[in-house]
Amino acid sequence: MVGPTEDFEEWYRAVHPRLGTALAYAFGDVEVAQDAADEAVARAFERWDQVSAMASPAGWTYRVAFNVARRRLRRRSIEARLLGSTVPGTVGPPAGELWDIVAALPPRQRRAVLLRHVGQLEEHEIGRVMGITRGTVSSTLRAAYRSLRMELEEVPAVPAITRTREIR
Amino acid sequence: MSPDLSELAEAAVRAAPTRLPRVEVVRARAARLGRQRRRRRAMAMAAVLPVLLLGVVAATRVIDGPNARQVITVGENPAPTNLGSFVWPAPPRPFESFDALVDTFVAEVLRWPSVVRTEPPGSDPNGPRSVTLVATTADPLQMLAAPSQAGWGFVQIGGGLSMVTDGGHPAIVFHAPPATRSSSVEVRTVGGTIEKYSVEPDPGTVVEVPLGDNSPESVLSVLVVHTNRSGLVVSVVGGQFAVPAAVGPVSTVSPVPVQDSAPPAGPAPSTMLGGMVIPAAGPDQSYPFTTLDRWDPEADRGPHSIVVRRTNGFLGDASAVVTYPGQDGGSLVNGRISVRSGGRLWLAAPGPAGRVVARAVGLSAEELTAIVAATTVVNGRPTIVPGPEVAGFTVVAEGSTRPPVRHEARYGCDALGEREALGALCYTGVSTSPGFEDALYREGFQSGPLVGGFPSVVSGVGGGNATLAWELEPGVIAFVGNSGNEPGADQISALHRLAERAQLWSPDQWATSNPGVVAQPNEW
Repeated sequence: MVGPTEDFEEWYRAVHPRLGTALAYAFGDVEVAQDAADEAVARAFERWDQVSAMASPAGWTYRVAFNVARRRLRRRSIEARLLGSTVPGTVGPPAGELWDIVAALPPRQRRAVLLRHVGQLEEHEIGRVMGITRGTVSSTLRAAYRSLRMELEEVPAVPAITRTREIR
Repeated sequence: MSPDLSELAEAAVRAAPTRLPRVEVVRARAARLGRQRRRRRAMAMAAVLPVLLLGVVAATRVIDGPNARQVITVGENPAPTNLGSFVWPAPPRPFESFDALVDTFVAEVLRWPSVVRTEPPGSDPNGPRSVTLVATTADPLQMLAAPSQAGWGFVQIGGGLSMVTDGGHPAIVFHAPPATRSSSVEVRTVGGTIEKYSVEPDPGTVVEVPLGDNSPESVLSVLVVHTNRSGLVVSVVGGQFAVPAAVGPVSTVSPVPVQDSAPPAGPAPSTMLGGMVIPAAGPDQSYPFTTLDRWDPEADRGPHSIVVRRTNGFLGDASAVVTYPGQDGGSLVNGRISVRSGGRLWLAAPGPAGRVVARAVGLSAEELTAIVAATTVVNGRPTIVPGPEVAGFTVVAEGSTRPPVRHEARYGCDALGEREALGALCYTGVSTSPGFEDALYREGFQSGPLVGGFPSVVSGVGGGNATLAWELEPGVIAFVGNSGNEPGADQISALHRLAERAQLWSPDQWATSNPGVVAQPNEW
């Protein structure tokens, strides 16, 4: 755990890569992830006396970063809709079956898994980041684990289906 | 128990997609953030003091300075009435007809000399109506009006108005049309005040106007009027952001005996349904509750779905929902069954302009495959072509995946005697939307107790912490839900008690409750 005597530089060097990764795969946009992670650690630096004294500086930083990312994406979505601009491309997860399966989880489950296993946050901290209760975090993670276990198992083969037709 | 996910943490450190900024960059950004915060605080103080003075004298005046963002007027208005959720008129005025509403809006707000009105065919004269106003000097303006017991009003004008929050404070975001010289922003709050802001945006840009110390929840509606250099209106946009008095005694309704509780035969548009209500225990009792119609004028332009049941199927078993164009987050491989928890099966197939996505419960992989293979897209909508492969199946619901309207009744759980089990807010609803069942098979559910002899399901679909849903008849789904307490055995029992008491109201009965109206995407 990071305490009040921890040096900021050492702390952010440890936190930033995980934070950036969690944001990138939670929101599917590496540009937004970079900006949100940078802003969150800058805000932490700006008030490091208070943040470093918190029980979980990382939890606070993730909460700030996820809020910044949501706002950036909302703003971008508005601009795209209003100005007709294109939304930048999304980030692909590292090669690997596990990343593919995690990326395919429903958004809430995916974010909970990333915060737990990439951010290594506790369930109550995840709840604060996602704006949900600890109980909901638990049930969300359980559902995600069920899906992950199921996806990692073999699935039954079925006959190929025909392409659907269009009638106009 | 978690599967082994240590690879995620290792990859995050080994191959992070983001760059680690140098500490000097972090320090510089922190310094910039500090300067911005101090400047915002100073501007807020400069704005708040005059506003307080204006509030005391109830005056209207220009505050000062040429700044682009400033509060111009603050005045007291009557507290919100049952017209409180309208974007215009504000303050409320009882327009007796839709035509009078539109004519007055054109005369008072747009002041366009020549306007052509177009309405979609088949508009219900007594239901919410959309209209497009076309003038030679401006872009077409789409608007949605709704009736209430006290008259007609607009619930949405134009599009593209959004609210963002920063540090708990809201800001309105909109696009300033190219000819705009000035934009007037009128904000109506739940406290009954109307605040006016004026901005001089760069034409063609996206503008963000902070709404002072208001909380996001306090903003009822916003109307933005863009004028050009000559003072002529070039465009208007308005929308709602909150519903007044969601739960409380403001619009107390005494449930009346149900005279026409039989649901319509066969799949019916949900606009023809009333709503589910929970009658009081005795004839002299009543609960304070409010009713709400969530209209989605764009629903028909979104995906469409079909609910298919085996002859022995019911909600939550031996059923499939086929949606086009379907969303699956990119996780499905065309033609390959994906098995999800609870025996749910997902299957995707290519369609003309997007994928057909089908989800099923209680069906075999071969049955789901046959259903998808029998699906044809006609004019952008999925259709099941009858044939021997799908013999024994019946289509019980079809339509836009997002319902055009959701009728909700909202109660304080306390008044219903279920606060301990369910928390603060309880709600009821009824829908023929196939999207409810699609969301059910997408998100997962658990079986619930019988309601009136019919199987029920418990899920998070419909909002809140839990929703217990059952079929009144094939394709007509009723539900009760709560927001406040986490799902558990006590909660499900309490929802079951409410479900057993709930009754279906006819459209006429529903209208007597004077429902509030909001326009929004009706996602399940």
